[in-house]
Amino acid sequence: MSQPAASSRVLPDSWQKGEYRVPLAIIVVCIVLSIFMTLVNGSPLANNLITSLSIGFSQWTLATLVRVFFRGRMPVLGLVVAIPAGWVLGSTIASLVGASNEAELMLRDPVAMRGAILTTLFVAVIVTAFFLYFSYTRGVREDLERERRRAAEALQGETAARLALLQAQIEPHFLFNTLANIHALIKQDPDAASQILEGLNQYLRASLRRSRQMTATVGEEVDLVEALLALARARLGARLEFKISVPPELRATPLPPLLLQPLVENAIRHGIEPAIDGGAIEVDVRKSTDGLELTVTDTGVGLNANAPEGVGLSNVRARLTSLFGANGKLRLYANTPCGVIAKLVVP
Amino acid sequence: MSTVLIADDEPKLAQDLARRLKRCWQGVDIVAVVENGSRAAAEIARLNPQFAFLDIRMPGLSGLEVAAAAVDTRIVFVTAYEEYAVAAFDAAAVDYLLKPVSDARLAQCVLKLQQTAAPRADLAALLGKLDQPSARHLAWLHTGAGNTTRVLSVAEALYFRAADKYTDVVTASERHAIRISLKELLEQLDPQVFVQIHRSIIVNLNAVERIERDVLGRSEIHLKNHADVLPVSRAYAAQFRRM
Repeated sequence: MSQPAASSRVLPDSWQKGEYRVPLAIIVVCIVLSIFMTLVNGSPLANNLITSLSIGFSQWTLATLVRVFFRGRMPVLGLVVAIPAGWVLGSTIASLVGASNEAELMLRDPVAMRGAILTTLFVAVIVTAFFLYFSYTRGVREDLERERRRAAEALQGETAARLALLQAQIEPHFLFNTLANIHALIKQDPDAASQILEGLNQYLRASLRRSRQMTATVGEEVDLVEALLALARARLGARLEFKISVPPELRATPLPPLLLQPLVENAIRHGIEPAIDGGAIEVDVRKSTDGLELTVTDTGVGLNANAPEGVGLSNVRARLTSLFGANGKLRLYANTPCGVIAKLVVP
Repeated sequence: MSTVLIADDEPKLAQDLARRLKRCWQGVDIVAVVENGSRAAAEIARLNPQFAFLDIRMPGLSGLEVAAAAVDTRIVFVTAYEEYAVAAFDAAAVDYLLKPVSDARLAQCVLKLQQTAAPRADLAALLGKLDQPSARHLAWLHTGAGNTTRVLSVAEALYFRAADKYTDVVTASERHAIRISLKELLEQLDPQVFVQIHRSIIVNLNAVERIERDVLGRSEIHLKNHADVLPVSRAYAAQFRRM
């Protein structure tokens, strides 16, 4: 962010990208041309140099001005204007400094005029072609570079998301609270304790298995969030109600991991847990025209305008983008009278 | 008699702690077992117990907020796992128990409560350190569309553009109008992330792909994941460049 802004104070960006090669090319071409002209018609080399350089640089300056003015959106116009106008300007300058009486001669001699115009056009076309080729290859190189960087970023994002997944699944606060509940019940109510232990076992097993595989099914994901909700219910007692509705025929549909579970976890942690009277969570999976639609609805405290978005949601969003591009959607709605509706659409 | 209040939003844990305290503490009187922070604060004010065992994460008020308001009650924090909190507790010299609480650790804590005077705990500092740095910047935007209220995370916004009486929020795939002026919005957004670049535009720095400057010094911002190109006006360019 700060790098290009800081360095561009010294030189315009376009210079740093190597555009100095264009004036360099103009100089080289002008020298070659002047020597050639001197050898052919014996005119003084210095005069030829001044004339060709002032024409060349006038054209280049005008082309640059047009490009700057139109922000590079009218490349052809630049050439159409710059080549003749630059020739007129350049030869005028040259005759003003006395290096050439070309402009004067031209008016009198149509044949000389045609020759001069053709020569200028020829040179301008060569320089332009060089410039276009150069900027084209640079563009291709930059595109390639950008594409490579994007791919690397996507891969990195995916790795980070999977790591966060692993951590989020076995969130320490959740784990130790669950263990504390088992500890509290183990003597008073051994049956309830063993039921929670069973649930925890199921959840951990599913989480670990899932963190090793890239794909999962709706059925597996739903079983996982059911285990999670059952554990939360054991801890929170009457403060949490939940309902899961999934048509049996959708259970085998593939669904990447780390999409549904963070939404349910958020509903528990940021919706129900902070609510004095608790609330209900509903998980609904259905087929829609856009693909698979997964909805997690809670009646908890809702989104506080200033409570920062958790890593869970931004992870889901990043993963959706890296997996499905614009076709994967996560949308949040305010539930009435309170709570949040999180709607996930995957193609 | 030692009077004790217990507050935990997980009822089984609160009851278990009450039971175990009675077992290991001669002459304890558990005056109240409550399940949220607001009730804990009310009961502490009403009953003025000598000791209170407070869970930290509770609905209503957090355990830290309850403790800050309780002057004559000695507080023991009971928390599941907050690694960062433990260091802060030690620094502020407050009593704490980690869940699950072992019998030995509980007995040790009771002994300490009986034998030593209440520590001069620096709760204000603890509160400042532990209460999440939330409630500072705007995080969610509510936009109405018919009967439904859509909630957008500000992190989704690539840029905001002022329109007549409202502001357009542009995300990677959508555009919404919110009823708040650009100026009010700017005051509430995190200045580390959102920067005004034009009289009518605020950009999310995380969404910027590159800044292009031409020979005349005019700048344009190109975004990641979006075709829109944003102008940077001269008045804001200097400010923007400092970042």
